[in-house]
This record gives sequence, structure tokens and C-alpha cells, in this order.
Amino acid sequence: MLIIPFLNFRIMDKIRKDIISAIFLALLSISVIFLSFQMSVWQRSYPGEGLFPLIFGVLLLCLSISLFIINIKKVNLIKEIEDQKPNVKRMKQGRLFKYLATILFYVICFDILGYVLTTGLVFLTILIFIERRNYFISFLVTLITVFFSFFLFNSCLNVPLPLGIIKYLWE
Amino acid sequence: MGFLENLLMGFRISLAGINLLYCFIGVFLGTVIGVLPGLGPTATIAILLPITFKIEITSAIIMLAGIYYGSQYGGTITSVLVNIPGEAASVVTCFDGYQMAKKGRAGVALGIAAFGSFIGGTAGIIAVTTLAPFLSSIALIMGPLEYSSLMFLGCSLVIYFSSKSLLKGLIMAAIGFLLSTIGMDVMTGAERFTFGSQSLIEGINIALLAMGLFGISEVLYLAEKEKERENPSVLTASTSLLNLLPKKKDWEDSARPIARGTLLGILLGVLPGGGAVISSFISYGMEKRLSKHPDKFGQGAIEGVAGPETANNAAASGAFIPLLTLGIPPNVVMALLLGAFMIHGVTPGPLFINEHPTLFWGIVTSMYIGNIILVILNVPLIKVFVQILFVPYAFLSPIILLFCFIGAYSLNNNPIDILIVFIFGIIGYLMRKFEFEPGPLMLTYVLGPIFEKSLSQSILLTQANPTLFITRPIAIILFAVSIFLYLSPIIRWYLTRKGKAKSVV
Repeated sequence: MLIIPFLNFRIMDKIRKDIISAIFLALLSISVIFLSFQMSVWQRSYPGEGLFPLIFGVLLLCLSISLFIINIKKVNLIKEIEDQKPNVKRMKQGRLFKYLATILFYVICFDILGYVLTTGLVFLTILIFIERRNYFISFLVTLITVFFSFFLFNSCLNVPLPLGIIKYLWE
Repeated sequence: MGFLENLLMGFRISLAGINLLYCFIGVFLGTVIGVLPGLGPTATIAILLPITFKIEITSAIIMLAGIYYGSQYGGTITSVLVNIPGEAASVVTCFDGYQMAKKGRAGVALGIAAFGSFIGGTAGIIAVTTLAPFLSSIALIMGPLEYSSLMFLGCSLVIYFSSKSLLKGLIMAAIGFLLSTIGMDVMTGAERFTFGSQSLIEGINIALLAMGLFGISEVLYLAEKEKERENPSVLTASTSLLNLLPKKKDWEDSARPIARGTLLGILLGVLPGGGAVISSFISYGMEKRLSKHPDKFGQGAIEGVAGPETANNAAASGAFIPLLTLGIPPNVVMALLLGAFMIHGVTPGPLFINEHPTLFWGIVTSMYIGNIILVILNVPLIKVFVQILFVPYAFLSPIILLFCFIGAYSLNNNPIDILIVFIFGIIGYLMRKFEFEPGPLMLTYVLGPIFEKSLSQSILLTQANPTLFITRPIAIILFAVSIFLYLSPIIRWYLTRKGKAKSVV
């Protein structure tokens, strides 16, 4: 009996997500259909470049409408049962946002600061500030990974990794 | 060249120093990621795809294939010793393998799993070796219409059997097809959805898409999960690994499950949508049903380990048959392998064996060698591999990110690719949050251009005359089976409703 409100909440959450995705996908497919009509769909007895995007756009629209209808029907069914929002344990979204910010930093600074410096900073940030690991081990892991990967890609696989400001310091 | 000459040529290629090294790297990495829950062969192959651009194609495919079949071995170790399946295909091994370990028979369970895996894997490779040339010759008879309908059926089977929700699987497949249309149209040469961007003319690079959807999204998804990130604090099963060789009685009990698992695995591995996971579950169910003591299953029955472990390895090897002979990947990992082939300018299909004999025989024979390496690695090094399970996830996530980002950068030496892979990572994360599986998207993305090309050729050949389509019975049957698969939930719903109405009356 105790599990029913929790199940209801989980189902409602899933339905809500499905409805949001259905609306988003429907909008996406409408844009695809619109753009497909800007291309040539059929040329005499030959398919134009817009034919396949149009077919899959229409298919996506039909499928997203189906997803929407199915979930709207479910909402009506669930609403008939008394719905209680249980105290669901919140997920660790703080860590997720910290990861996102760190990756964004990596994307922006990779070319400017160079591979070694950016990767080192990102590794230390993740290990020390996000994952709360021991300082010594974090430094050791960072050092080994950065130099091993630099050697592997730069020397063995001939990938010219950017040196960034280190290049200027070297000169 | 005859069959034996080809085989010898293949062994000469696969035993060459560099290929042997890549084979070892592949199976070793495969075992490691098989041990680690969460990081599967799909994510690993996706992460390593860009690295393979820098390697010669035979070595690259040998390594990626090794990761795939090696992961099937690795998953067993943790299933038996800590009751944690490293791979989805090893879930059933937990049922009896862990119970055997609790009774002090961990060594026997791991031993029979390793030997069964070797037998199943080798039988699967023998099937590839013997059946592939024969299937290729049959496939050569097919025209573009038959080929596109076979591809359509292959995709449909994978979506039908591997997706939790058929509707969502189809949505992902449609998006995959749409993404594959970005860039220059293969038939008309016109640009589609490029919005004037030069970098989009060649379409979205498969490696960027795969790394974002499977690699980065994995890190982001696990960042907010506590339970999945936890490592087992202790080795829960008491292990007696000294005696890994099964006794005569164990062999007698396991011989038939191994034989049945081999046949079942090869058969299901070849079929699109079958694969290692389904074959291991079916094998377990079949052994339980055929057993004289079904009550012993779940209590440490050796048949419950031998059958499924053999089946999943046979399926992993058998899955190469449709990929190499028809160019149709039966699962997502094979779709990524197909992508790796295409990146190197090679498209597997009916002409593959004739056009690239050294590549085909090199890959096939490397699998024999890989299986031998796996047995040599797995039997004495089990205790070493199980320690990998205790590596905190905190150290793995930055390493995954690093490999994805350098991999992305290495494609064109362009930092913009890092941004693209990050964007796909966020999309992959949102897809997982909203319970959409990226597998069907990846599959149709890889197959999209081939499907579109063969269907366009069919339309051109038939002058868009639908009556000519009717004269091709194979194509009609294949299309009809696909349509039936999609309509089956509606038919089932209708029949249930009809049944309910009758019972009310």
C-alpha cells in the first residue's frame, strides 16, 4: 500500500517527461518537413534530395503524436487514483552542474591554454573539488594521465595537440 | 584461392607483430571494461573510434572486435565473484555462478565459464569462417530493392527486440535516419540541412556522435547517481581460485549445455536483434527446462553457468556474419564497427570478401587468436581483473572525458569538434533522462546513407513503378515481415480487447 503513491509519482514523472519529449519532437519534425519542402522532393521519376528527409520527418511527426496521445490517455487514468507526492530523494544534480561547468571550461580553454595545462586543471578540479579525492593521489593520477596521454597522442598517433601558452613560455 | 589458402593468409596477417599487439590490446581492454559495470563495449568502442583513424584498418578492426568479444569474458568474473554483472550478457551468470562461489566453487564456475566461452567463441568464429563466403555469394544475387528491404528488416528486428519501448525505439530510429541525411545527398549532390556550414557538407562525423551519445553522456548520467558509482567494498564471495580446472563430473554436467549454448548462440548472434544478451537468457531458460533437476537452478547449478556463458560468446562471434557478408549490423556494437569500416573507406557487404580478402581473413583469424589470448589471460589473471572493480569511478570519469575530447580533436585537429562532442553528450544525457535509448539512433544513422542509396537505386531501376515492386517476392516478404513487427503491438492490443469483450459477454 505504501508503495502506491511512490509508483504513481514515478509514473506521473515518466508521463510528464514523455509529453515534453513528444511536443519537442513534434516541433522538430515540423521544422524538418518545412525544410524538406524547400528542397526538391521529386524530379520526374527520380527521388529528389528532399524526399527521404520528408518521409522521416512525417514518420517522426506521426510517432511523436502517438507518444503524446498515449501519455495523455495515461494521465487521465492516473488522475482517477489519488495522487500523493512522496518525499523522493533528490538526485545529486550539484555534481552534474559542476561537471558541465568543468567540461565547458575545457572546451573554451583547450586551444588557448593548451592541452597539458587545460587537461591538468580539469583533472585536478574533477578529482579534488568534485569527487573530493585525496590531494596526493589526485596530483599523481593527473600527472601520469596527462603525460601518458600527451605521449600517446602526440608521439605515437601523430596528433598535434595544442601547446597553448606553454609554447610561448618555451620560446 | 581456396579456403585453406585464404585461412593461412589470414593467419599470416593476424599473427604479424603489430596486428597481434592490437589484438592483445583489444581483448585486454575488452576484459577490463567487461569487469567494470556501466562502461560497456558500446561506450568503449565509441570512445576509441577516433584513435582507430590513425591506425591501419586491419589492426583497427582487429582491436575493436577484440574489445567486443573480450567484454563477454570480463563480465563473467564479477558476476561469479561479487554478484555484479559487468555486462548485460552476464546477468544470468549471477544466478548460479555466485551461488557456486558461495559454496567455495568459484574456481570451477570461472573455469567452466572460461572454457565454455572459448568453445562457444571458437565455434562462432568457425561459423563466420565457413558461412560468410557462402552467404556472400547468395547475397550477390540480391538487387538493390532486396538489399534495402533486408536492411529495413534488420533495423526493424533490432529495434523490436532491443528497445524497451517500440514507439521510443522507432522515434530514435527516425531521428537517426534524419541525422544521416545531413550533408551532401549521395544521389543528387545537393546539400541538405547544412545551413551554409562547410563542416556539415560531409555530414556529422560518426565518431563525434558516438562519443557524445555513449561516452560523455555516461559520465554526465553517472555524475548524479550515487548507487551506480559505488564500488563493492569487499570481495563478497569466498574464492578458491587455485582449482580452476573443472572435474570430470563438472565436464559431464556441462558438456550438453555447452553444445546447446554454442548452437543457440550462433543462431541468435546471426539474427538482427538477437545477440549475446538474449542468447544467454534463452540458454538459461532452456537448460532449466531440459534439466532433470530444475530446482537446483539458482542454487549453484553448473549448467546455469556453462550454457549461458557459451551462448553469449558464440553470439558475439556469430554477430560478425551479417556484418561482414551483408553489411547489416545485428546490434549497436556492430553498427559502430560498420562505422569504423566506413571511416576507412570500406563498406562491408556481399562484395567485401572478394574486394578485401586480406582484411576479411585477417579479422576472422585474429578472432581465433583473440580467443586463445582470452583463455590464457582469464584463467591465471582472474584475481588481477577483479581488482579493477575496486577502482573508484571518480578516477574513471575524467579519463573517459579526456579520451573523448582528444579523440574528437584528433579527427580534424579542430577544437570545434570538442564542442560538438560536448553538445552530443548533453543530448545523450537528456535522451537517457527521458528514457530514449541511443542504440536505434546509432544503428539507423550508420545504415541511413546505404539504405537511402539502395532505395533510390531501386526507384530509379523500376522507374518509380510500384507494379514492378510486386514482381520482387523476396523484397515484399521482407518488407511485410517488418510491417508485421511494427503492427504486432496493435494486433495484440486488439486481440486482448476482443478477448476481454468476449469474457464479459
